[in-house]
Amino acid sequence: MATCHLSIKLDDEVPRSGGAPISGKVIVQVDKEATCKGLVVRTLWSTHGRGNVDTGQVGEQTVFQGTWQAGAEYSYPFKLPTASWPPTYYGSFLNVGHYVAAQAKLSWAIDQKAQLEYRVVAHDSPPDLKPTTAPSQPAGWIMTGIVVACLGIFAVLFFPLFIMLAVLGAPVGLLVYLFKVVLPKRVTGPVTCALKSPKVQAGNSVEASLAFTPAKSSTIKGIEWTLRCVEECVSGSGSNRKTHTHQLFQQTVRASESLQLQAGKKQAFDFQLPIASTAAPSLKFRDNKVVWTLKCRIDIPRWPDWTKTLELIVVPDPKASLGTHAQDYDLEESGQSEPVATTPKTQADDAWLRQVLSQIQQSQYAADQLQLVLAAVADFEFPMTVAIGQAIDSPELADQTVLAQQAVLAQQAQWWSGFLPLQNTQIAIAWPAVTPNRVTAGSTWTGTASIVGYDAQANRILLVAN
Amino acid sequence: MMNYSPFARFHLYRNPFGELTRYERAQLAVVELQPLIDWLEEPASPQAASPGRVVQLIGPCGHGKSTHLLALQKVLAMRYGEDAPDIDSACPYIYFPPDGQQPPLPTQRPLLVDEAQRMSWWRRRQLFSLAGPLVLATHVDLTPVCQRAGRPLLTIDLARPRSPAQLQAIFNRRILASLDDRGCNHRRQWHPLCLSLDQVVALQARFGSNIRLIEQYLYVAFQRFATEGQPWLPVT
Repeated sequence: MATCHLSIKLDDEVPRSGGAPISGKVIVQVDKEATCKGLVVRTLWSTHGRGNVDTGQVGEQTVFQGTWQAGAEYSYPFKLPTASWPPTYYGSFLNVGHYVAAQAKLSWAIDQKAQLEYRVVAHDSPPDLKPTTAPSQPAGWIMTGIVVACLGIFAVLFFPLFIMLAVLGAPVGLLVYLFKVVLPKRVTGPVTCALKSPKVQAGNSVEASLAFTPAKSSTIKGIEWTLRCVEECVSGSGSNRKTHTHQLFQQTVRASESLQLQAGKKQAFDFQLPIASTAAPSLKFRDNKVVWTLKCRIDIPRWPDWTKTLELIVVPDPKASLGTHAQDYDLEESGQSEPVATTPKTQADDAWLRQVLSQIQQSQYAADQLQLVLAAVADFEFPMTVAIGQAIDSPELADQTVLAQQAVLAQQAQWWSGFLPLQNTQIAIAWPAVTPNRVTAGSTWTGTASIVGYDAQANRILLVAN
Repeated sequence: MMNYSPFARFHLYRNPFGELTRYERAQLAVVELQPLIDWLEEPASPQAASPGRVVQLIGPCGHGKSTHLLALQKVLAMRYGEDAPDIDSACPYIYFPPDGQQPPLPTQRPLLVDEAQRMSWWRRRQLFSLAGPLVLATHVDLTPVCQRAGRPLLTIDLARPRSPAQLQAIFNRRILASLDDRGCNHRRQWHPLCLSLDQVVALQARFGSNIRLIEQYLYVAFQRFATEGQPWLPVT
């Protein structure tokens, strides 16, 4: 048994922005007397997902040092700064979380820890996208200096090899330059391609322009713009280093179909495409990033195409800045009454409930395993739709086939038989105090409920509505 | 409620099969270390005074060589480095990159060397010139090198198939380590997403004992389950 148990309670769950402090209290429940060398509370951010973990500490406070008495409960208030960047983000390969973490350093016992996530929204992003509290690492120019010095030493030590590499590499570089730059420009002439602004706030439009004056008359097959957003995460190091890429968004817009170009006549094209307010913001860490690019391509028949890729920074919309997958989970907090896209959330809720029900059914013949499963799922709340059957007698714990907490069963006023049509499962359900008026035989009820037991005799799951 | 997190409904704060920090990898390692420690600490026989024993962990990528080293580092640091300021001073861990300059070798022993097959001749000479226990993780069998240096060697072949129970422990431990701090302590022992032995056997049939490949598969499967409502661990 642990010496003590820590939990964190925040004063409010308002999302933080601009480094606004966060306050709350650390609650310590002590099982046996313990000497605490320091109860340290920290605010930090951390990435998690497919890439190596990037993390940064923001604030730290030691709120207690001394002895805790057995059986007592202590509460320690804290107030700590938060990071203004990066914002909380949930994607596919990359996620960014902000946490309050508490650690009790105990003498002659394992340190106890607790961690609670809070949300950070950003109104703007720093120009270099660097976190406001970055993990310590050598400055960029130092690293550049080291690389240049290493290359210099390499060149001196292996001069003949260096010359050979240069001799072999130069033609390859020249060929690439020829195909990518020189040949396309013989058709298009000098090209100007630029973003109107390198920074775009999610919810606004990205704007760019393309202009060129062909040196000679010719035909092009078309001009297209491709706006793309990808998560790039690097895992491992050395020979185990691997880059994982996940495309979050891609849209191609044709600015022009087949076009006859006349020598000396200027061609100009504007591009404008709205970015969703829930779009992922541009992020950049040591091993993880979210990158937005706009690629322009002039399709030249039987000739190398002219292409240019522009990198843009998408600034989060503070009202909905939670990345692509997260948008569905933000609706309740943002106060929108009409969910925009509930399908993935509903499907995920359904899959989760199916998983839990199947675990209960798989363990129905092994009482110990069933108890473990029921105990493990007792504090989950599952959204569900129930087809209400008939009012029934309370399941009796005395019956060996019913597994549940006695107190839970006894507290319920009226039990109803029911059926989960989506999960094809028989249930019995009760409400903690009074059964709502809308619950009658043959009605349908939608809400959240917790699993409190299993009635093996009737082969049904016991639920209590929340 | 953390409604913004797709993992919150499972009382998890992350996808359990993502990358871990070095510290967490050592914390969550499911490895049998005692035989290795016993071997390293066995006193040399008086007839042939040994300059220090060596453990060689051999196996291809993704079979847990680095995880073994990191878990060993934690244990050995506690045994040998009471006065050291940190774990790396107590029991250094050295990684040899595939290219670039080779890192200097600390004089501290025990010493853990990752990707030891990449050590240059000169580095190997330096390595064996100082007495003390060594643990080498390598793709290539370094038995002849150790024999020439007169070091008693224990080779652990990590390419051998792991038992389904061991793999189950590895992955379920990662799920339990990703729980948030809400709810009851019972979930510290089990979670509805914990893998059954049957599921692990199916994964093993497909990926062998390559933990990294299984992790990658589970990461994507969990992400689809949590965000798209795909069944957890469909046909494996």
